[in-house]
Amino acid sequence: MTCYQSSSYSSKTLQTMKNRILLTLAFITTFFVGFAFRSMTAKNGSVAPTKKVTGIGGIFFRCKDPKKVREWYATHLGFLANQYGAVFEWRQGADSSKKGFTQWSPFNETTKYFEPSTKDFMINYRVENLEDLVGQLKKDGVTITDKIETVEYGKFAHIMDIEGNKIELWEPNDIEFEKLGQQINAKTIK
Amino acid sequence: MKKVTGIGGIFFKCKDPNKMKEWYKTHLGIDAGQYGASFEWYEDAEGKKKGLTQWNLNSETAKLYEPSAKDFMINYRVENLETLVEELKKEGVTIVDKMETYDYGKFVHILDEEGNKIQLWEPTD
Repeated sequence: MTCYQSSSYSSKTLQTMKNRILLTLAFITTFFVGFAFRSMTAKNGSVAPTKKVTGIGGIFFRCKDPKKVREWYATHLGFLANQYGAVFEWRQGADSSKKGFTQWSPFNETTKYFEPSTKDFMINYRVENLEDLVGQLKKDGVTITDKIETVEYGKFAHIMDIEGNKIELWEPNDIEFEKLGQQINAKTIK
Repeated sequence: MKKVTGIGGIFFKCKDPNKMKEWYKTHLGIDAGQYGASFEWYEDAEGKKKGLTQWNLNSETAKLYEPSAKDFMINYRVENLETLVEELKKEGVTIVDKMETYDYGKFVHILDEEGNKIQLWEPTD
């Protein structure tokens, strides 16, 4: 039926159809350009987000004998190691009058701290506004493995990246963190 | 004698570095290029001497980590790398390669006693 009709189209009908197709194409193009532009601007909006991670707060790794490893790093690389590992002290990039710290700790192979990750290491990232960030990550569908925990030296939460690495997020209270170190008589590496 | 003075970098292996970099950028704001992202800080309270900690991801097949079988490697900032390497040699520490000098500093790799490869860096910040 359709074939019949098409074969009997007059040249006038064909011209009208061409015009319609052109109009439709123009409409579709406008739609997609608009859409592309919208997604571009949306992207630009999310490229300049609020500052999230601001630094490395800690590096933790599994080993057979943490005590021996701490001693090795103290002997050969001059680490001022304590029972928890060692602390690196530096000055914040945004404000050099403020101190910042990076914790270094070898963990026992059997530690549950990295779970559910099966990797040999875990990184702690320093963040600003952990509560807002965790709220945002939840919306984004990121796996949050626990609830935010607040201690004197800051707030902590753990999340998973897309390849199963557990990530520790830390909104630090550097003043309290330093006090804690002083209490156990720990020296920092500068 | 002061040896390691800071964390110069943290590197780890992943299945798809590009996808992972995209994820870290989207969700955690870490904007990493080909060589990773740099976290800047200062060595001094006056903010005169800059320091940086590099963060990067490598593919699972990266030879950079060999002979270590671990999925991560830490870079430590050191002072006087040449002297340190001589000392480490005397102490029987495994030095993996020869010291290399670039615009941004001197590098050498060693192994700790559990086979973790360590990158030592005397930076020219």
